[in-house]
Amino acid sequence: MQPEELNRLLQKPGAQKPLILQVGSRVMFEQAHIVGAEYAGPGSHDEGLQALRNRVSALPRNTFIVIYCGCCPWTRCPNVGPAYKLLIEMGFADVKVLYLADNFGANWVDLGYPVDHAR
Amino acid sequence: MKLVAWFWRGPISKTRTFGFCLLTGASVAAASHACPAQSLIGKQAPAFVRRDLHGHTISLRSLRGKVVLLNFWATWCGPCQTEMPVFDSWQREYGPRGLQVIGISMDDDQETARKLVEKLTISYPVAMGDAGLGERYGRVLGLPKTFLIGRDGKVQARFQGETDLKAMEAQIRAALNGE
Repeated sequence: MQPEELNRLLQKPGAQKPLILQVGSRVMFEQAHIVGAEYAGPGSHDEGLQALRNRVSALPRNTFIVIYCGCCPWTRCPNVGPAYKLLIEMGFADVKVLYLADNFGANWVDLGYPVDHAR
Repeated sequence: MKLVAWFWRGPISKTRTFGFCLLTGASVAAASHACPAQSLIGKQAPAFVRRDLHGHTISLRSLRGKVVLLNFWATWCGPCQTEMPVFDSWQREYGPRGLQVIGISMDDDQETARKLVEKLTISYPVAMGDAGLGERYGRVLGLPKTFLIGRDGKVQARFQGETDLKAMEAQIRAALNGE
């Protein structure tokens, strides 16, 4: 899912909003994250995947979920792949990964899309 | 990663930078470019005092007079692990001429960072970062991110993402030569 598409969806009144989960670093999440996003834990770590599993286990499998990381360039991100795989294995049918080509700063924050802070 | 082609939809517009800078309170001058970190260039590097992984104090202010390469990294960042041994070789080569490399780990867990530093046999000081330090350096929302700080304490350059290390080395040499 492209950042522009997600931002448009979040701004659209009455649109079905996805559950947005950040599956990367907490330090980065605390600096800035997509408004409404929750921190789930890094997908590259077992503990992160467990935290993700705990967060979504009780949800209906048709829940619209968007995951993102943006720690590194897309092809080097260690987090979104395992997190996506886990959600699919758990039976979630409407999961999208936010495409952040370079990183969250360049491809979301610097574009002026709304962010929140955890601190 | 197989996901790449699947989710790729095309280039991303960068037309909203100006609005972001205004919304975040950055200066209008800074708004003409990707703002917060970029706006540090030419300004005094934000001071900080940290304990490194060995418990020694790192004070940026005390390094005035040296050229400082301040590198934000994390264990889950592949390009970071490519750069760090190179930075270590630069520390050994250029240290006697006044270069000081400092690593700031943006990992959530110190032990994870320590293990990688030991594995890569990094000799320069490494400290743990946090959201506050990241924000003072214009938000560290992608790694690696490196700042070149001159002997006068001012930020001379910022390197984001996978960097041309030869070009970075040339800028370090120039800074060491006072150019």
